Amino acid sequence: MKIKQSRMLRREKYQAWLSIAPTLILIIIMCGYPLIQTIATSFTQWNGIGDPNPVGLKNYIDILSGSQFYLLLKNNFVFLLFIPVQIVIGTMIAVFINDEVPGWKVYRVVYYIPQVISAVIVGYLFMVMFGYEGPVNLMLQGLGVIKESIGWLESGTTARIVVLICLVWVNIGWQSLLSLGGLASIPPSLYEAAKLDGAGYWKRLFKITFPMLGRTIEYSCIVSVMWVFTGIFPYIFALTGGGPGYETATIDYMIYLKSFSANSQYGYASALAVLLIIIVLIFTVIQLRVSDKQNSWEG
Amino acid sequence: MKKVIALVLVLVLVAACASCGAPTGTTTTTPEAGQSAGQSAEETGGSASAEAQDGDIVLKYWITPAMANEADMQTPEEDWFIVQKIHEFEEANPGVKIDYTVITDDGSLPQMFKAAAMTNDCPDIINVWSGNTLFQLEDLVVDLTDLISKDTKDNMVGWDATTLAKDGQEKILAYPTSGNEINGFFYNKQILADCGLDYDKNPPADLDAFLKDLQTIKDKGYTPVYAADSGWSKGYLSVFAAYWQQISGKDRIVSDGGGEASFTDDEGFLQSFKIPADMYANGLMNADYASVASADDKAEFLIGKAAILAGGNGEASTIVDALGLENVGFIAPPSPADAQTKNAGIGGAGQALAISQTCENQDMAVKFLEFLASKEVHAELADHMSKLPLRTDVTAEELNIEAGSVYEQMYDAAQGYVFWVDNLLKPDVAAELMAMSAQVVIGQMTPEDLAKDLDGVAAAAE
Repeated sequence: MKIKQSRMLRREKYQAWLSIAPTLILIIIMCGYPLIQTIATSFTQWNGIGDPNPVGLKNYIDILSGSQFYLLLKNNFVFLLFIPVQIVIGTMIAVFINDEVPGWKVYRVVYYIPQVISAVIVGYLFMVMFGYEGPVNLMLQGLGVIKESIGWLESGTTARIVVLICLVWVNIGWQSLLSLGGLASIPPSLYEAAKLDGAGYWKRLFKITFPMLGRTIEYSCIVSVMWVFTGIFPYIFALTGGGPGYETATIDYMIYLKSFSANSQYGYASALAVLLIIIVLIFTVIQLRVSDKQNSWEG
Repeated sequence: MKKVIALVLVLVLVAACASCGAPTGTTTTTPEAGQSAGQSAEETGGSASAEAQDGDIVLKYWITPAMANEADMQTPEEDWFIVQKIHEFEEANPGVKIDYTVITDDGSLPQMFKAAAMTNDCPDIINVWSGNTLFQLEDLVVDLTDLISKDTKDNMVGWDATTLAKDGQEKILAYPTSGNEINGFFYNKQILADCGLDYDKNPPADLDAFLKDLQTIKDKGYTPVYAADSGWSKGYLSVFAAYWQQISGKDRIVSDGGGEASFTDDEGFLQSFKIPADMYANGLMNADYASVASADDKAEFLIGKAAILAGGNGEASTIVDALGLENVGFIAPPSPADAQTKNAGIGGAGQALAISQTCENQDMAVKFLEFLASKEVHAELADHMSKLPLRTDVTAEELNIEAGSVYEQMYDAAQGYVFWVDNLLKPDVAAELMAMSAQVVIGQMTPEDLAKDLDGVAAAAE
């Protein structure tokens, strides 16, 4: 019996490996090879012409000893602030849609529209909206909040606020969709039992709905953090161009600048990319460890 | 059964990957009408005439929109002016075929060319931005210094945009092409007349007089000067940097950028920022200089709210369409008292035609570029593109430029242009300048702080 089981187990193992082999090979080729190439290039000085010139750790030393990298990192961290806003607003919208408030079918579509608009269009839209004679300044002047127009994109602080607002606006739809999926998995019997026990709407919301959405919110946080480090490039490019100066530039934006400028520095850009991978991995591991502890009551 | 299916899937995947890795065919395909507009970077192209026969010389040529005007873009590629000229050359040189490919995104062309060089699949001739963009391709293009004809060298300007000066030597890497450029101030004659000014008859004698006029215009309720950063330091690099050239000169700028001299001590550099910064601070320039979108960066001038626009000849046709030929004029930036070069605007050739080192028929490629640079063809090209000629033997009359018009004013100003400063600087220094210039103009940073910053970048770039 034991020998038979062992053979069966081995056969299943081979079948399992063969089943995932095609995808695994594809991932290794499409992701693994460029990753190894990037790491190798990060130890060289290369402008894309001729052979790369090995320089050891010079690129890493230049990056970590300069002040620019820390400005880029700071900007990435600042843009993480959109995540809690996105989660709160997105989840509230999901709750209202789930409760089928009047007009919920329209809201379900309208809130998702920003997700399907091109990032370049969104960036341009926000540039116009927050322009000197844009609707935001006109509205604030009309309400008497300000006397003169604010140059929103002319100073680092206000430019970052505009980027944050843009990121929240873009992702509310995605967050609400995610949370709707999470809400659908909450057993209605919990709400019925809570109602029978006399729990009101808000108590049910904060004591049942939000805790039960723990895994959904955890997933949203992990993906959103990765997105801030790797996916907001088109919005920065279209909205601020990394400016004023480099006040809204992020690490991935600087990778683009260093790679595709008149003086391509692929080695330096590759080193930045490697550092970015390490930062994203660290964040992901921390989040997984923290959320595992928080949600350990789940089976 | 499952094992068999899994094995088949693996074999199919491996076979698919192997076939994807095979080298692709030629860069040229049969042209199809109207495909060029609105597509991604690499376009279809083709031969201007019949397919190449055995024994024919075939030149592969990457064209960018710099060689086509707006009207061309609305028509099939076969009808483009440059394609007609290719056809003409082929007829005059039997046995020569030119396979062209239109690269609509000229900003990505240097990267594409480098990638093509890595795969030994370079075109023979490329149309590329002049200056630093061309110079970074130094190792991939032919040194044309001894190949260009004397007639072309003597009768053409713009060689500073295509000549790389390095280690005490100079190499001409490309022919300047398409047209000359000149930047300065367009003015609305009606608004100026309303303010008691007439720049056609009495242009400002110097910078001080110009600033006084701007105050007069402001007092009348108009925006005196409209300028914009447009995301690429347009206002500074196109217009205000002329003050740096006028005061310090080209050699000093090169020394600053190379780290041999200091930006901090360069009065021309500091003045080139103080002038627009003071204009901005005193309300003589639009408040949204740093934030207006590039698509709107002349709207206020076009609708008659601003008296003067900081811009270049490439915008002339749009301005004339909006305001009327009789209502628009042009002056180069009026000089401060200590300028070495008076009343010179930023300009020069923005485009270049280079020959790849992998070109097997360099003589024929040079012959083709000489043909494009010849007086007859160049005059036609400049007229077709509504650009200023790079050949000094092409007169305003030959281009049908109306006497006294804004086009004649630009033609005259272009004879004494000073070259783009960002093309004189090392790429890292130029990039830093472009990133920070708007901050200085709107007063968020001082010219002295920028000078220190650039000195640091220049030292690190050595």
